[in-house]
Amino acid sequence: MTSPALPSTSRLRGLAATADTARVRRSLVLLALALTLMIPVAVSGNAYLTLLVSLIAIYLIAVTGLDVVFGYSGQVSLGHAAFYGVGAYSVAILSGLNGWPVSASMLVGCVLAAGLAAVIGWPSVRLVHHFLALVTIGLGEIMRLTFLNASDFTRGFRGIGQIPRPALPGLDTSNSTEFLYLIVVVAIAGIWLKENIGRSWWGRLFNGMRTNARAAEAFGAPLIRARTIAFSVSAVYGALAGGFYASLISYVSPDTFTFAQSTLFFSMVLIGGAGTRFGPLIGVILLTFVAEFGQQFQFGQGLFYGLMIIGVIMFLPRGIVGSLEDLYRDKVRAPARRSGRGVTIVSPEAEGE
Amino acid sequence: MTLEIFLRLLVAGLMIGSVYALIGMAYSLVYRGTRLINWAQGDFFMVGAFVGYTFVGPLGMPYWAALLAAGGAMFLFGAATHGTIVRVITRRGGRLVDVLLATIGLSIVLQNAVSLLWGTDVKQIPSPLPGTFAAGPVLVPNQSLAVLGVSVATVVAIYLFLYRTPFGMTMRASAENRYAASVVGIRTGRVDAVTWGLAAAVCGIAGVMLAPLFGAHFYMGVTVGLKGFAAAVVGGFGNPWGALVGGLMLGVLETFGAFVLSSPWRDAVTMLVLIVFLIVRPTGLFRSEAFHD
Repeated sequence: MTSPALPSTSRLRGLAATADTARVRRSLVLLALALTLMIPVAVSGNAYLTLLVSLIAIYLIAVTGLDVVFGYSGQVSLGHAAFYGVGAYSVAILSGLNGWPVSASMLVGCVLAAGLAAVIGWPSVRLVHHFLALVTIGLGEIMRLTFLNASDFTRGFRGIGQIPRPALPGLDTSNSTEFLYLIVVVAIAGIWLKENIGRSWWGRLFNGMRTNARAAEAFGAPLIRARTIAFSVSAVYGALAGGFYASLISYVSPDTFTFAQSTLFFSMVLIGGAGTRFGPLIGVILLTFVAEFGQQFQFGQGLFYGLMIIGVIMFLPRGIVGSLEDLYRDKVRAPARRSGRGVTIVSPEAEGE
Repeated sequence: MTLEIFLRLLVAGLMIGSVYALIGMAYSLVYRGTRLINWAQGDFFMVGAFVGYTFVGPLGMPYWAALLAAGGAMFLFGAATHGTIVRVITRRGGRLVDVLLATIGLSIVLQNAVSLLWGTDVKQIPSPLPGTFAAGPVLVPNQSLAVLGVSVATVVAIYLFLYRTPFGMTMRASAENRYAASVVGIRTGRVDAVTWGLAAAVCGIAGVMLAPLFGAHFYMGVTVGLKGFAAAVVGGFGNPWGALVGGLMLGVLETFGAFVLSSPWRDAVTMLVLIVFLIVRPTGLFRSEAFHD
């Protein structure tokens, strides 16, 4: 072609720009991490705030898992509370009633949840898109009824109290600030793992499957296995969060693990922005505050919450963060690209050479 | 189990089953007509009961007039739901899942709105047919028979509407092949709104009929909605007539299940049937239009 020099310089400039942004991004991430780790200290004077932030971090663990199944692989799971409940009841029954170490019973909870998700998911992901959504609603109800009715194990509606906290060397988890540190670190690790799943072979498969399942299958993608794996991974996150919840509140009862709780988890992903990095975090913080500060005007809060779900689906289909990303791309990056600054896309003719 | 208990359970099962059947039919009508799922169907049932309560109680209308009026009000409400929420979502290319989630939001809104407007206590509607009917040794509340009768009448009315009126024909045509229907001049948007309205009216009528037996409460639609959904799946999702069989079957099954097991497990029976059907036989007992896209 006529001007091979132009694409090559712009490609160089593009590389320089990405190196720059990568450095900036890395320092931003470090800054965010440092700030996050200061939160427990900042709230340590206030018992209520400590509890609230602990709850936010626990929800974040559960919702991060849900984002793997919904944001990455594009399947709707409306029974996340079932896995949350499996995790919570594992810790409650094994540690609270039978004196197991909490970390062991959390592990058992995660394995149970993953197994349950695989057993239920494997046959139900094979038909059509909305299929898993319907099965998970049924699964959530069955698990709630099991927690309620299998009273020999779960003590029914009275619930199980006096659940211990995990014991770690060098960490006094009976102190709520130190326990909060543990939860925050686990939540950050969970998000880091999710990001890595997104960049892994499986993550790219999930992405392809979500955008066009038939095309992915035509390329030989193991759809059923991938969907089941995504569902099981989300179940592990859910069970882990449930285990921490049981430890934190030190009491579980069936009222927590309802369809409403599943809807709450799902709305957090949806309203924040599914498949985005900060969407789940924004969704969790926003809805936890709506739930907490709305308690004075109890039903108005539910009204607001429901309207928010409807409004987001109607007008912000990619959630708050997703819509902001779109806005940034259309209004900031695209004009810049058009005027030749920060070129990252090489024209097809130049590519051909 | 004596014959008397058997018959009593059978009548109770058929009565509650006919309500599940109506809700299930509403799910299937909506799915067949618009390929969407309205999760708030159970809450339309609940709102219908409260509208009926308002017509009978504070406004002092006769029960049967209130039944029709509540059905009409719910028709408008269902059509309005389609015209506002659903149309915006489908126009921007939203799919079934988006509408499913939006209607979950709607169901939360309706429960909260009703508890704000009417309070959280149970509202009673006096039965138009108090007393019991003695069929041999079995005493059956007249209202139960009325529920069964009105359910049958509603189903017959829907059938006549779909198969004996010009508008019903456009609805069937639009469900059969949307694009072809729009080519021959059927206004598919309007047909969809009527479909949603019709389904909501069916739910509302079921709500007004059941309220004299169990009272009206802002949370009453949740379980009934879920069971109606199960009825639709069992009967073959998207097949309104299958939902009738599914509903009656579930009603009888759970009534006997509650007798044989213990009644706390009653709801679990339905959910188990739902999951087993979804996994093992997703097309339901009869031909389903769902799950093959």
